[in-house]
Order: sequence, then structure tokens, then C-alpha cells
Amino acid sequence: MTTADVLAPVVPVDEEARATPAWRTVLNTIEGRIGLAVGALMLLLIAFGRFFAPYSPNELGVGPRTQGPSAEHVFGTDSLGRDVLSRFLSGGDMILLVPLLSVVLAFLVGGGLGMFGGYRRGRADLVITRTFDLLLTLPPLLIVLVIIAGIGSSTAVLVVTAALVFVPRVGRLLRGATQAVVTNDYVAAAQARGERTAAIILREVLPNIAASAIAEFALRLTYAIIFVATLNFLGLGAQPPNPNWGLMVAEGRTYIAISPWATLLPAAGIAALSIATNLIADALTRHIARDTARGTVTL
Amino acid sequence: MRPGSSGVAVARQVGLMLLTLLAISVVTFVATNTKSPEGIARSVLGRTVSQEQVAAYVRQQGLDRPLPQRYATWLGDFVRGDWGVSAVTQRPVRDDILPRLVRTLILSMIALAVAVPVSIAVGVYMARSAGTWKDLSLLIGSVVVAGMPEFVIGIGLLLLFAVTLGWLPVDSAALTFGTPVEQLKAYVLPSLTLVLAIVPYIARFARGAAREAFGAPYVQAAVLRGLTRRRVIWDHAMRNAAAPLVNVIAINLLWLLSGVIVVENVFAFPGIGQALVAGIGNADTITVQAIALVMGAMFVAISLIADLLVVYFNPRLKGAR
Repeated sequence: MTTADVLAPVVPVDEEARATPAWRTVLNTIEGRIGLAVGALMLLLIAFGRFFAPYSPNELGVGPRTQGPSAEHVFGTDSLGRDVLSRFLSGGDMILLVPLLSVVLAFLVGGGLGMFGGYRRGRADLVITRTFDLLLTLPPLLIVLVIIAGIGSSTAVLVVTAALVFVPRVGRLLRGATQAVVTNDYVAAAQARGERTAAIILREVLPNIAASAIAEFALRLTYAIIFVATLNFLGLGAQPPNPNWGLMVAEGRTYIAISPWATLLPAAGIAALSIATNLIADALTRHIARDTARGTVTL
Repeated sequence: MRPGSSGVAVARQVGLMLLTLLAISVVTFVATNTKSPEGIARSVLGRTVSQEQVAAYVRQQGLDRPLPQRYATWLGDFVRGDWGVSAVTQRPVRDDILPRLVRTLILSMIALAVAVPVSIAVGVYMARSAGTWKDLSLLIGSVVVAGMPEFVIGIGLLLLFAVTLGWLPVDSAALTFGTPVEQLKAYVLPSLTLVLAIVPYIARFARGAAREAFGAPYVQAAVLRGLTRRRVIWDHAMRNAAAPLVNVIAINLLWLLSGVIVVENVFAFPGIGQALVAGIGNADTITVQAIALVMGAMFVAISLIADLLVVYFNPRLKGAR
């Protein structure tokens, strides 16, 4: 068996195969199953974990400062005497919501422009593509840091700047995918029926590039989670005293030798979330572009 | 120079890169000058200054001039080597940044020198054992590591090697005052973190490139001619996979620059990435502006070198367009 057989669903590469629903693609691979299981678990933890917190996440001095695990505080306390477990259970929402919003925004703006350009071609396409190219030459983290240095940080700034990073990348991919399908007869048929551009893009183009779009969404979500968590870690996202996994890692870093759980727990939370989305993204991408080398002499 | 020769292609690349650097400088300047001149003066001088002091500062710094003019002066001064004086430390920004820049460059070079050969070796190994459990576990492992933010990888290594095993220091502060051995140790964990952050991407690409090359007729022919496996892989297959690999390594180099900012902050590594984030925290605008330009220049230089290497490794691209 080759790797392709192990990792990808055993279906022939043709138009029918492309039409397999995304969830089935993911479920058919080992990595996809692991990703879905871990992702679902993290989703439950982020959504409902707060209701099981033994202490209030922001209450100071519920225990002694900077302590390792004990009976009262299963994962110890941080430098202000707050309960690490309670802060962990309450601190995952912004690590998921901000990236999710920014990727949705990037798909609406970048994906919309990309599909429009790919469908229309001509001058509009040229302007859109050149703008994407210009944005792509900028170093992402550096530019976002400089913008935050200038105008300060808030949830809205995080969402918009992160979206700005992903707009040209999403846009270029969806433009390419659109170009590949616009030559099909069903698009010509819709044009002949006199349908409007928006209707054709939404009803004829979008369903036929859905596989690429979904895989791209999962991949960008992974990068966005990494990006936003990193900004939070650098102290440029969520502000204290909010419980936020990225911020908690930074706060606990100083006392890592005395109270390692205060850093380890939120770091593990972020890792589990982004690894899960990356596994799902990889399973989806693998379904679209699979390994080509088969039936060769073994080296 | 003939049109379409490689000289023109190079000149074109240099021009594009200068344009990129100009764009970075404009974004930096505009983003850090959104406040009114009085607002900038107050943020530098503090809240307890008189109206006269604010007015004097505005005049002295030329903040009353129009934005494009201030931008031109700022950029001109920077190019001539005058990077300004930090309002927070009252020291010339250049003196503070240059030693940090050297350390950041050393860190990036170490990471790169380790990451590229390791990831190509891993990629070729995966391609050779394609379809076995070794390949599969390395593939899933690469997705797992690639899915982690750099700071999480760094924290993990820190907990393992510094806190639990106690082999290495918990931060890299020793670089500014420590003995040579301590300085050497201070580089280990930051560069290891960067290596782990890059290897999965290049290795997976190298695997794909190697598999494609292994399947090519000339490689199959070399195998059937009975050449040794080592010669077939390195002299026949991978030589032809070099051009796309250089391209992917170049893209990862640009990510390395982002990674350096993060990793320096995990390990309190005294480089420009740490100074950048500290500068944002202290509202030290002049330092932030200078570092943004220095990093922008690094970014552009890396892109240019990478582009030239891609052309060098793939003669068909010479004089393209």
C-alpha cells in the first residue's frame, strides 16, 4: 500500500470523487479522525468549561501566590493567587472566536473579490490581482505589529488586521479555482439565461469550488489561531486581567520554574486547538491534491 | 544588456524589492503617525507638561510640517544613518539596535543552517519509505508540529530542557553579560525552536519533490542501470528537485523572520524582535519605526537572494517575462 492509500479515501480521482462531502473525506483518514475528535473536545471545553470552574477566574488571592498543584488548586495558582484551572476553563473563547471571525471576514472580502476577478477577468481582475500581489509582499507579523503600535489594540483591531493578512492569500486561491471552472458549460448556460453576476458566482461557481474553499478555510483557520494566539502571547491582544490562553502563557512564563502548570495548561490548550484544525485541513487538502507518484521502482 | 537577459530580470527584481521596502516604510510611518502633533509630543513628554513645552517640542521635531514632508525627512535621515533618539531611553536608537541586530542575524543563520539539511534529509527519508508506517507517522508528526505556534514549541522545549532536565538556561539574557559558554548555551533553545517550526514545511515539500523525482523516467533508468541508491537519490533525483525546493525554503525564510520575533520574546533573547515588542509596549515610537525598517530591509534582502537563487537553480527561468 502506498501512503496515498493510507491517508486518502480510496476513491478514483474524477468529478464524482470531488463531490464527496467534506465531512466524509475527513472521517475517512486517520489524521482527519484524530483532528475531528480533538477539535470537538476542545470546542466543548471552550464553550462549557467555564461552568465547571471551581473558582472565579479573575478573583485574586483565592490561594497562595505562584504554587504548584495542591488539593484545593489542582493545577496550582498564578503569580496573583488566581486559580490556574479556573482561568484555563474560562480562557479559550477569544482564542477561537477572533480567528474564526477574521477568517470569515477574509473569505467575504478576499474570496468575494477573488471570485469576482476570476469570473469577470479583464481590467477588474487585473486591479484585484495587483492589489493582492502588493499585499502579499508585506511581511505579515511585522506589519500587524506596526499597525498595533500606531493605533493600539482591541478585539476589532485584531480581527481586522488578521483578516487583512489572509485576504490576498484566500483571494488568490479562490480566483484560481474560479478561473478553472468558469469555462464550463453550466456557467455559459447561466449566462445565456441572463442571470446576474452575483447569482452566477454564488449558484454556479461557488458550489463547484467548494472543496478547495473548505480546505482553504480550515488551513487559514489554523494559521489565524496561531497568529492571534501569538499576538495575545506578545501582550498585544487581550488585556489583563482577562483570562486568555495566549496571555496566560506570557504571564506564567516568568514563574515557569516554580509553577509550570500556569504556562503548560494554556499552551497545551492552544496547541490542541490549532493542531486539530491543521489535521482536518491536511485531510481535506490531501483529498484535493493527492500524491502523484505511484507504481514506480522502489528506492 | 539584451532585453530578456538575466541581467534585466535581476534589475527588475531589485526594483520590485525597493518598491516593497518603500511600501513597508509608508505603512510604518503612517501607522505610527495617526495621532496629532500635540498628541505625539504629549506621549513622549508625559502628561504633566505645559502647553509651551508641547509647542516647543512640536517645533523642534518639525511635527508641524505636513505628513509627506515629515516622511521624507524621516526616511532620508534613516538612510543616512540617523535613526533618531529614543524618547524612552534617551539614547540613540542605532546604538541600541545594532548589537541586537547582530544577535538576531546569528540566531537566524544558526536556525537556517540546521533546518535546511535536516528537513531535506527527513523529506528524502519519508519519500524513500513512502507508504510505510515510518512515513505515515512522520507525516502526521509534521502536521502536528506545523500546527503549533512557535511560542508553544518554545515553551515546550523550555519546560523540558530548562525546567525539568536543567541542562540549559531558562532565558537567553546571558547573551549580554555571560561567559562565552553561557552565551553559546543561550542560543540553543531559541534556534532549536525555530528549527522545529521550519522543518515540517520544508520536509513535507521535499518529500513531495523527491517522490515526483523518483518517479521520473531518468531516475527510473538510473535505478535500472544499477547505480547505487545514494548516487541515484542525490546526483539524479534531488539535483532536479533543487529549483522548487529553493523556492519553498525562500518562503520559509520569510516566515523565519516572523518566528524570530516570537521566539526572542519566549526566551528573553536580546535581539531586535524583543526590542520591537518592548518598544510597542513602552510606546517608544522612534525605536519601533527604526526596527520596522531594519526588519523590512532584512525581509526584502531575503526575498531578493531567494529569487536570485531560484533563477540560478532553474536556468529556464532566466530572462522570463
